[in-house]
Amino acid sequence: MRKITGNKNFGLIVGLIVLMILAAVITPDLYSVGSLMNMLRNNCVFVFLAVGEMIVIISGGIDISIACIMALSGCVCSLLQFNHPQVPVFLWLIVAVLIGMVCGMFNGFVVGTLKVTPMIATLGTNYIFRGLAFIISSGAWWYPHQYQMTFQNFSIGKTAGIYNIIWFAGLILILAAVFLNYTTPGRRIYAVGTNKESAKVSGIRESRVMLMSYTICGAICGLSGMLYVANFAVGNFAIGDGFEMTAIAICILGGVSIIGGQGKVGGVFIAILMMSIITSFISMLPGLSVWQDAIKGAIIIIAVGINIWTARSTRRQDLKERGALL
Amino acid sequence: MNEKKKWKLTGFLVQWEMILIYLLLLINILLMLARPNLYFASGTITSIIQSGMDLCPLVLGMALVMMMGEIDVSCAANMIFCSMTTGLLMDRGVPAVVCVLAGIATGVLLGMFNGVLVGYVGMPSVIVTISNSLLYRGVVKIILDVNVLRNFPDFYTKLAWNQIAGIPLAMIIFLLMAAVFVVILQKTGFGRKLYIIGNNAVTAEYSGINVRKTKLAVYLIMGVMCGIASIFFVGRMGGGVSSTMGVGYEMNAIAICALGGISTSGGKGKMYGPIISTFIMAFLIYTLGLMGVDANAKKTLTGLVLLIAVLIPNINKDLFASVRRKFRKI
Repeated sequence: MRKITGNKNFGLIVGLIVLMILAAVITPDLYSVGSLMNMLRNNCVFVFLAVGEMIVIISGGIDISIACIMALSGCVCSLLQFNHPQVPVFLWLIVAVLIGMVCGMFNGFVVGTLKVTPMIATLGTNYIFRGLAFIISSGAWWYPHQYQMTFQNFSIGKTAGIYNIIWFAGLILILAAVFLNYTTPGRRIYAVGTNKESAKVSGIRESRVMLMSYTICGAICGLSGMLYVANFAVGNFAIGDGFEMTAIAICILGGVSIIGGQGKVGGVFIAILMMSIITSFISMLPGLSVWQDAIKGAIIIIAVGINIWTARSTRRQDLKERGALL
Repeated sequence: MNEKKKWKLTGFLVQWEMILIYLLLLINILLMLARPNLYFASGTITSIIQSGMDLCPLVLGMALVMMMGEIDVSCAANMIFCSMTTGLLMDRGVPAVVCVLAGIATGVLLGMFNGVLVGYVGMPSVIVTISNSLLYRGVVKIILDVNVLRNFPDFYTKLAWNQIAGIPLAMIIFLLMAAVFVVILQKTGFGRKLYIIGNNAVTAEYSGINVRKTKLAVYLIMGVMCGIASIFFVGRMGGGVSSTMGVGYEMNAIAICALGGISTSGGKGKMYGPIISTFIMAFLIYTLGLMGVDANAKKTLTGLVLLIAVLIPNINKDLFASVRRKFRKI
């Protein structure tokens, strides 16, 4: 029993179950297959952003520019598919990932090699990428009729009865989990996030690990930009404004330590589910849609508070068992 | 430190605050060369300065918070909350003085909430203020919905738009407040405590500083500044407030502080830096606007300026270190 309650995700899972029951009682419509699928489809973009953000936060940094990388790649893809419809669409997928990688590399270079504080560095690049998105798109909007069906199919096409974007999200989640848990570069990210000095002593180059984590984050966000515009078939330079805060919030809720070195894909996944249920649940209740931000904020504060409190009490218990606190 | 004392004049001329002043002069010269007619027309400089004054109190508060190595992302939401309190009370016909004081008191209360969570509960300030930003703005959204409050005291707009003998009123008040903050940070024991906490909170704790209390106090000051900022902001906006106003102001305030040489990891920088860079930002944005640069392209340049500004001291440090090493070898 103690093993179950001691699990870090225990509180999260309980919260998720309570929310689901609450939603089932108040808005039973939420549990039709169609609306569940739509809920997942529309919140999938946060899977990408949160996983990318998680990798960066674990390495001890933070990335505020993710939403702008998303907007940049979304704009470029919309522009290209509209101007050059003859080029095969999967090429745009590669373009999107490449754009994200270049942006992420720039972030990683500024943070890792030039040693600028992550918060400020990505705040600066945040402005830069958003402005670039505006310059490239020249402020234009793209509307649903301007998107090719083959392009949109990347997100809203169905494979085996499930939207493609959900497959992509699932793939990213699994890849991230494998990468972080079972590969050497993944473990290095944890090592650098936990303690830079000891990582350095054990022969890990911090600047390279930072560069890598930011590049991966950028690539995932670039991908998300393309899938986002394909999903909603609306694109402009301002898409995803404020998504970075939601992504950070999801990471925190999912038990990723903001100081770095801690966090699991599983926790983030549960947090995404929780956030998306809250969002759809609230939007289905009449007159409650204005409450969304306040409720999200309150939930994060409470979740982090509980997290810190349990961490402190387990530490105290450990000390007591060892007889240090007698 | 010794080297600095030896090279007194050169040391003074290359310190970060002086570089900021050169930057300010450079922007001014550029503007002068590009649009001489406009630059020497009466009122241009006044309006440039006025355009940059709407977030100046936030910058002052943020400098203290960042000095401690913490951050406050919720200040813009806090500011809107304060404006809302004042506006709602004005609608009820409460005397103006009480309304303004109530607005500032709201800021203090919200700042205290931040401060308690950061200082006493021990949560990381980034998380606390991001989620409190959602929370505060969310509450404003609940209360105001899509309404706009238009009933504000007269002196709000006067403060932001009037001038005394050609000098903007807002700037005078800003400089007065800035002087107080310079004294607080550079000359009092409280200010020195912030430097110590920013450098190493654990050491500070062991050397007898009550870190929790200090953190709470700084967030309280930040709250007061948010309340005062609401006066500047609402005045600048022509006496109206809605729930979506002022999004992104917190980032601007952080950017100005970083440009002013305050390290985000804490413990470095002086109060003069952010004060000068408030003006730099105002001139920069106005100049770019005059050149016909679009608002969003302006953001790109702002970002570049911020990055370069943060990079210069780093490069400087490396450069000086390598030069010093070479001299030592010789």
